Amino acid sequence: MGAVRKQKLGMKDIIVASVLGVICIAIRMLFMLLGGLVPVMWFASHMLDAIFIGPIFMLVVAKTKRPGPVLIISLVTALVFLSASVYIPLTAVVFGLLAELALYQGRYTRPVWLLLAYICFSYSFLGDFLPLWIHKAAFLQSASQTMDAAYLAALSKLVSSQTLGLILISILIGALAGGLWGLKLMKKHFKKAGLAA
Amino acid sequence: MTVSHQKGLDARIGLCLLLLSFIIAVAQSGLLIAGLFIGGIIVLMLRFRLRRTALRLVVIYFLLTGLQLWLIPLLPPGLASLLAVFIYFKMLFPCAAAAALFTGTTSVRALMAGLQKLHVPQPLVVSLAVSVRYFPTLKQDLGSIWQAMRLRQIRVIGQKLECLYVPLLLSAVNTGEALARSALLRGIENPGPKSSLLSVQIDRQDITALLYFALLTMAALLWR
Repeated sequence: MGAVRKQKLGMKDIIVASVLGVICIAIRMLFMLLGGLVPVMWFASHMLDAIFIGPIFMLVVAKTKRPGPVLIISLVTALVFLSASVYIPLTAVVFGLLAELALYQGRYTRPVWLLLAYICFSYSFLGDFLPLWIHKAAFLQSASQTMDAAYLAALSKLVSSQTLGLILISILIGALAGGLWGLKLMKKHFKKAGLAA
Repeated sequence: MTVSHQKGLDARIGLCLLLLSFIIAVAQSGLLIAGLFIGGIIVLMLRFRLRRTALRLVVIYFLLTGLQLWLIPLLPPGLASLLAVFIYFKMLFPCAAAAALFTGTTSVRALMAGLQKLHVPQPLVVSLAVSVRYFPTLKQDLGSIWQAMRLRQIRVIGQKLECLYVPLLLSAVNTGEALARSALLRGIENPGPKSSLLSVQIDRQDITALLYFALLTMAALLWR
């Protein structure tokens, strides 16, 4: 096991992880676009991301088993979505590192640590929502130029700490469901196909 | 050996523009500064022959403005708050405009060369380049799997998801491994400095664009 820990991340691992990372980015993009069409969906988008990215995360970890790919996927996702929010790189670095730590602790194989790492990874895209809360005053000021007081009160309610709490809980539930689904698919298909040991 | 030149702004200047656009969006200094910023982006798009993107940008901007000024005030508060996300999108519109210019004019090769000049770690540069290049293949793979599923008449949603995911991920891993083998054969792991056929240099139009957008950002911060 020690040997696994000491191995350096090679270009092959980076390229395989990047290709799988593209599917993660495509899933995030899809739900972000749907969120643009149906605004309530935007608040649920991270939970749906967490459900559908689970199998990809488990496959990346099983294919590479080295420190780095998860953080790289988080950073590339952050760069691709930089125009949506400048806070995404910040959460990508923090939660990407936490996910790497959890994976290292679980030696890239223990299911509980894999799940914990996946929960951290799912929060790495949280920066997408943060401007709405951090710059709430600017947002409301912009809206106040054309809206009436009743509307602003409803809007202020929508952008509240309770809503943020609900989003955080929904991501946790989504990450657990997605992680378990990923572990199931690993066992049922990918290990049998010889893609991972 | 001929050295080719990039089509649009230098990748490093493009990244600076993205950052400045975010500062302008957050500063919320009013319609004039945002309008001048978006106007500048549209001028650059026309300069680099991105006429369709420029037109699309103008149409979306006017649609969002119309939604904010005329439609949302007429709706009941509950429904209006649901549409509030569109005001948020309008707030971030300068970022979207800068991103559209960047992606429309910066090729993957130019981005790689620019990031290498900025001394960004090689794993991140390679990962970013692979990600951008794999998108069209992913679309093709998805289409083929979808057609095969229709042919086999798979209709149960759980089964559908599994039938979509398993071949898609298997194909992605195989493509990734083939790409990695090809890159290794071409010497990607060679520790020596990488060269590029693309000439990466900041010229007069880059400096003019950067100055214009930097001055606008300063004005946005001063007149908040």
